[in-house]
Amino acid sequence: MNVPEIDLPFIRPMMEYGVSAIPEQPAAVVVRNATVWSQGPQGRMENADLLIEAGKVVAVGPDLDAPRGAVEIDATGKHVTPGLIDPHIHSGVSSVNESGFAIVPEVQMGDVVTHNNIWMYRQLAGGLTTAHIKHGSANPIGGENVFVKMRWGSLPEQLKLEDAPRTVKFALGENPKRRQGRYPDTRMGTQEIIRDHFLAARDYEREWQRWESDGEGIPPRRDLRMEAILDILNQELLISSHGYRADEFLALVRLAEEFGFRVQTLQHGVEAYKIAPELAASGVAAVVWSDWGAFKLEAYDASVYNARILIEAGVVTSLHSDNSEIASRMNWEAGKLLRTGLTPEQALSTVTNGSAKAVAIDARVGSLEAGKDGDFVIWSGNPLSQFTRAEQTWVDGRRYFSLEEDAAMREQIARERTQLIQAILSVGNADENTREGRGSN
Amino acid sequence: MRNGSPYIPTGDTVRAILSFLGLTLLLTSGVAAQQATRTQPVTGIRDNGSGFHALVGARVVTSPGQVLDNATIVIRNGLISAVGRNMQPPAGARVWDLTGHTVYPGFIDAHADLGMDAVPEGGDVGPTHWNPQVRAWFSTTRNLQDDAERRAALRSQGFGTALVVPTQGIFRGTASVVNLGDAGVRDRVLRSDIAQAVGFQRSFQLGGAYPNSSMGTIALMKQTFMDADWYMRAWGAYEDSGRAFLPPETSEALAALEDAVQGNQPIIFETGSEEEYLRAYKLAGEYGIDAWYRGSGEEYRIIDVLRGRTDPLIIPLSFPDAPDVDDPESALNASLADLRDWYLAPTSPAQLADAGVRFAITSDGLSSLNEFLPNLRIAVARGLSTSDALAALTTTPAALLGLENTHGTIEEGKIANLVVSEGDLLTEEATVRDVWVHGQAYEVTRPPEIDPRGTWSITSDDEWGFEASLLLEGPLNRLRGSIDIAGPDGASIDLASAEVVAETGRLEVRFAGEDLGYEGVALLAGSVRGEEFYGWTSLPNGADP
Repeated sequence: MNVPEIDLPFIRPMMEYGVSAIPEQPAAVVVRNATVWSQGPQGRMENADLLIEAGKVVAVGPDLDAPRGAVEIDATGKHVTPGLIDPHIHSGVSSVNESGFAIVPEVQMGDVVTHNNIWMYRQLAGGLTTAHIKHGSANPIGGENVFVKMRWGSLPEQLKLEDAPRTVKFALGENPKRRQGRYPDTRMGTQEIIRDHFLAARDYEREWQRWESDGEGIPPRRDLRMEAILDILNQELLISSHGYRADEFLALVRLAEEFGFRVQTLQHGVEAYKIAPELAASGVAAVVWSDWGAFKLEAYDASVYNARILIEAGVVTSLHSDNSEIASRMNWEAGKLLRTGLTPEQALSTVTNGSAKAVAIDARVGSLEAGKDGDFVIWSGNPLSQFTRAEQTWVDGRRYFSLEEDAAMREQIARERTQLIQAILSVGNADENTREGRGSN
Repeated sequence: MRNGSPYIPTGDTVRAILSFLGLTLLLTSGVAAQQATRTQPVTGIRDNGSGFHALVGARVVTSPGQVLDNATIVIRNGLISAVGRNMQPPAGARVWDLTGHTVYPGFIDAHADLGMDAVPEGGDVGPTHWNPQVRAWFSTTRNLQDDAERRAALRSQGFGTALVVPTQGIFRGTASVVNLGDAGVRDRVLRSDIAQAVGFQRSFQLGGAYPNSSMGTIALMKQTFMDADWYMRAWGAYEDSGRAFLPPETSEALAALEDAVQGNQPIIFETGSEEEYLRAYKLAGEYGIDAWYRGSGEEYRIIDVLRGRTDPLIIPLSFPDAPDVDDPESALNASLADLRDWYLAPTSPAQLADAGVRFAITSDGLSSLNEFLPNLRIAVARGLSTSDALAALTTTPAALLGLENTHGTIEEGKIANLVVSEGDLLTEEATVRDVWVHGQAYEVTRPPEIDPRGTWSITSDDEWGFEASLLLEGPLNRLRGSIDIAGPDGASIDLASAEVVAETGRLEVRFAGEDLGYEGVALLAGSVRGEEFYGWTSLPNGADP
């Protein structure tokens, strides 16, 4: 087979928009004269600058002094926001549900993060910089979730948010109880199997403690499932629970309180507004949709005012997509909330600082405050408008996306495709006899 | 009516008969003079083969990059007793004239699929493991019954030795090194159960609900590594206590993993993508596993990560089909990932070699074993040096499998595993003629005993008075040519086909009858005897000329 010589640079991922290297991190970057939505105590500032050094936010404000050699970006007429955060997506992993058992907190989404994920580029192009990749909803207690940053072009391990809190998927309602041949089959069963596993984990802990004190009998075995449940009980593995209805959410919150810990977030939560004061009192965050609902029976009682009611009740509130495509335009989701009467900063908080707080990563991301990660977006206009585009997306003080580079890459992709298609045509059918696809093993 | 016409070639025939050594297929044994060292009684007459051979006149690639032209290899009792140039074959040896042939060390497949995939109906029995996907106790040696057809297919691609890897489950059991001869099972195992095999794909035949996801599979791997470690300690505590309490559970699977979790036995991770390689590598590091990796063919995607790594990597040569780009609409559906994969996957072996990665090549993963040598040549054409290619099939797997003293090169004292080919196997479309396994020749391709190439004069010996000239040329296995028929109705016709039928030694030639005025195919067939070729023509419809 004589294939033509084609110079194909090494790129990662090895697909459209793959890059030869991750972007440089300038020692300092200063964005000038923008409308900066700090999403922190400084609020929204006109004609403001944003200074990033060594990948971290240093300051936001007017006429900032930048170190010599800083990369200067004139953002006159543009808006700058923190990088957007989606606390609930399922793209970027090799599989989503481990449904073989009802209780599987030992499985870890972090083990199966994939870099061959074109959605990451699309989400980055929509201003998303951090995502919480969730296990599916097939189990009352599902697997451990993983946080990633949109470091397009990195290996799976490098995509993970460093020192992130550990969170675990729970699921209530229809999904975990409809697996044939597997307990539970009812909502009562879901609560009961969760409770039984909490108790089992305490027993497991006592067995260990007894053996460690007297050393008698068969040494106990380390059980990853029981260890994970103990971490849940000890508030080291934070619950992020799927569900729709108010009653079962409240039951889970009460169950956790009975065991002396707190549920971190309720996700989807189309009826969360019904228990907003209770959630606020228990310190449970709500992660909801802007306007999805009524697509199945348990989602009938949806309200587009859900987020507003929750925010006004003092619940930490975030939007989420649960959808690879919507995750690429979370600013639109926030924009929709303006129609419910939220202020622009409140609306944006549901995809930035509110989201970070909801999933306990607000020490690192979600706002433009000194010391936080240099994750920001330069928008062509008001980010809450659907006519606005993300022009540049920065993660860790590195420019991972810009419309300019995107245009250049499109040309490069078209060139490569042409060369490769020509190569196939020139080789013709000559090689079809000798080359088979990879087998299924 | 006459429907056949005998003909006799005249004297000026220009041709040659290549008289070839009559290669007989040696069945079994070569175990002469082993009466005292074998357990199985001989039934019937003993095989009295001498096991003493001299292969002469060949180009011998003794090891990657080392070539002896016109060399002699002497084989005695299954071992290479001498190799060198300008050596007379010793008296008493059977002499094999291999002039024009190339001899390589027998290839070693470090991850062979030799069947071994039967699952007992109703599932495994005994104190195995609660999860049917954990079959670490399954021994390929104890269950060796790999099929003869697959061994022959592997030999046809040059392999004489293989690591038989079990295929069922997530924890699949132990792999054993076997030779690929047709001797009985007791004469095939070289190294028993040397490595555990683990894969990221569960076996649906084995059943069980958990795990059914990639992260569940990894969770089961972690828990099982930890359980195997616990199992040893649990039984140790029980024995140390003087059996003062009820015993721990019995698990053959966990017992079988004892060496592996202590780092004393390798685990071969079968990876289906470059990402599964990264996952296996991380797991191995976390659990102190001595890991080997069966690659995916996608290693070129992480060549920067792999650079300089010497962990054993065994790569397949399964290159992807070209995406369908026959029309613009189809081309739109071809992703850049697939287009690049098509172009770059065949360069993966060369990239690994350039990056200093230690790797062996396996035949595993191909949809047909017949693709192996063609794909190996593609890898060479796409930049893999012939010595790196040969090393990946000989010295590297030999070292990996602990066979470096006995296999991998053609040297005095090593086991006589050889590949004999009619040309350079790695750069030409050369045919494997024989594969030698433990001093026995296994015929792969029988060379045609008759070489009919040249120009034949054809006359008929009856009233027809047919005269023609037949030209045959091209490679023996793809003859082509033409027939020129004399006389006023004469014509020159390209042959539709021409072949020597191996079973009968007859030459058969077909050509279209139209130019002679006949609708259909004319057939000319006959036996070649010395310079003569005698037979019949059969014209379309049996019509008179």
